[in-house]
Amino acid sequence: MGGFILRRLAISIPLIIVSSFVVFLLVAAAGDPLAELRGNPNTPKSTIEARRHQLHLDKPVLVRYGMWAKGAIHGDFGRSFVTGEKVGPKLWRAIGVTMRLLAGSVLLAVLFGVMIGVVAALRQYSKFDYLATLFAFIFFSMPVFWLAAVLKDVGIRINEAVGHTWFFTVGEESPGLAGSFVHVWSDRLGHLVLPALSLILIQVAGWSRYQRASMLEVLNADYVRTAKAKGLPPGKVIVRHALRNALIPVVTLVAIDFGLLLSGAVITETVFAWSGMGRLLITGLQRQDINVVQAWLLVSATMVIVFNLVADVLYGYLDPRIRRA
Amino acid sequence: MLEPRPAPGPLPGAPGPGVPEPGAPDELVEFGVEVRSQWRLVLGRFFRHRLAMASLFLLALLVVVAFLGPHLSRHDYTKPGPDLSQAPSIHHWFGTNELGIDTFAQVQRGAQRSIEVAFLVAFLSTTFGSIVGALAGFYRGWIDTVLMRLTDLFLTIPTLAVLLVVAARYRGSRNSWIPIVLIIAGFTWMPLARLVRGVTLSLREREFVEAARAVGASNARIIFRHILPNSLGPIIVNATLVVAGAILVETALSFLGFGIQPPDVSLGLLISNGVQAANTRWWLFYPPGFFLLLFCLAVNFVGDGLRDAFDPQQTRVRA
Repeated sequence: MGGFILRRLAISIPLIIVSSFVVFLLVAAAGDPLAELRGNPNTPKSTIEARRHQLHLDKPVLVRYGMWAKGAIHGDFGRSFVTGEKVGPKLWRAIGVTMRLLAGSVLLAVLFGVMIGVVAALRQYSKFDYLATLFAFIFFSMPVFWLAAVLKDVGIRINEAVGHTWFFTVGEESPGLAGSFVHVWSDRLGHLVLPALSLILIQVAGWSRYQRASMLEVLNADYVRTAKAKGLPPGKVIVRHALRNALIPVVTLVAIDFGLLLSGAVITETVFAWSGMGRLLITGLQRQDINVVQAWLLVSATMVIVFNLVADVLYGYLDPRIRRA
Repeated sequence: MLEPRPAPGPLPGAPGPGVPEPGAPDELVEFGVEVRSQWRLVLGRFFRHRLAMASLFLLALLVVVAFLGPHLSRHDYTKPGPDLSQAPSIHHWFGTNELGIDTFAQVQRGAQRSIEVAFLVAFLSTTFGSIVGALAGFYRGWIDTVLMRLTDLFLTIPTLAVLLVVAARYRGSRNSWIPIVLIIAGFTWMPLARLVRGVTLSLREREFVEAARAVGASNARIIFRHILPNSLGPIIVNATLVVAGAILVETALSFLGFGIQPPDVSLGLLISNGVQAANTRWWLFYPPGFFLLLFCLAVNFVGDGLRDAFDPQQTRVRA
């Protein structure tokens, strides 16, 4: 198992390097980070030159990539072109915000997705099954930002109707938030409700379908028939024999999706003005802030690769047949 | 891409992805009889699928409304009128915006653009993905390694980053939609390439390929006349997923300001313009969204019906 993990990581490293190189070239070619400075006729030429030199923009792209890579290997992601802040702490803060959004949402989405999928499979072609199907197809066909914006609109209307802020629609916490632990976290939870709901609805749509298909397959298997034939109570057959096996592909899918989500629920974060990973990328790209984009890329690519690996390892652990093959 | 979405999974009626049907040996393509009857079977199953047929009808209706409607309407999507920011009425079915432009006319024009983007992306990415997958699976060896590592690379590069960066270069151009189509297509072919590669790996060992080779068919002929036609089931089902996916990507890009650029119009652009007004002038925000939702729903249901039609042996499951 250890050898397998090491081999997989070794294959991934060149991929990350090539990927970071491609993105570096793309961002470098996308535009001029000093455009704003140049656009102002009052800026003296010497200032622009000094800034260019300071950001190493006077050097060839390859040299700049080399300098960036050297720093990144030593854990130094450089400074933001725009604000001059160190990128490292900025990145950590963004990861924290995104994690706050994801942790609870993914947990709830898995719970609901599995439950809906299992019931739909057990009662195939029932009213519940058709309703769950319709629900899944609707949320699967809906643009994320439209759903998020609709939820935001509904939240605002409810707030107006009750004359009191029930749903927070902007940001991950109130500005200047301070006070006791309970106060801080209840404020943060309040801000969490709507963005989490939009994530949950969409993930449940996908995962419940997947769970249903996987459960149907297992219910047809010989070992489930055997379990029934030897007279086990139905509940035990469903939970111990069917569900445990049907969960295997779902668990791996959730692991892969979680890796993808960590790079930022970009749209959801933008609609609700959360300053997480997604926003970090968008603002970085909009300002051609290459160091920010590169740091984001490293984290997101690593997460995708690590969680794909986690999925494979889990698969092997949960289903030993795979490991032997 | 943006928020990961697993495939919605099959409807009641077909668990499992479209797997090419065994049977219908392809050497009979030349004589036509067997193959045509297999296609007739597939089509017959599709026509009997009530939900899929209803969705196909809805899809056709939406396309007609989008493409023919503007010719029958008095309103023009570019011309401001005297009625500013009006709520929906007999004269303006979906109301007007702050310039007095009729929202219904805009939705029709936006839908045209979005539908064009969706189908063009589906066509390009399906063609490219199938060819890459078939080449990799057929030749194996170093060609396979190179093509599959390329596919992996495209999967690691964050799609959104590339889309945003490249789209930024085409900001403000009137023909912004063509580069957008190419970019979206360039980042949606990978799953299909993997799928077709897998199918090809198993098809190339089959007797009908051996038979074709025995009568002297070239590699190109085997790939394009024998292997690809036999992988059409999963390819077509995947293409419908791409149609719906491409529209969603286009709207997301437009929302972030990197998609279709004004003065051109697309549904995504209309919704993102309407977001600010959702609370006060709801008619600017909800109609384009519902149009989009209906379109994607119809496409997804048609895709599901096709999956059933191509993959009938898994239709009934007894629990």
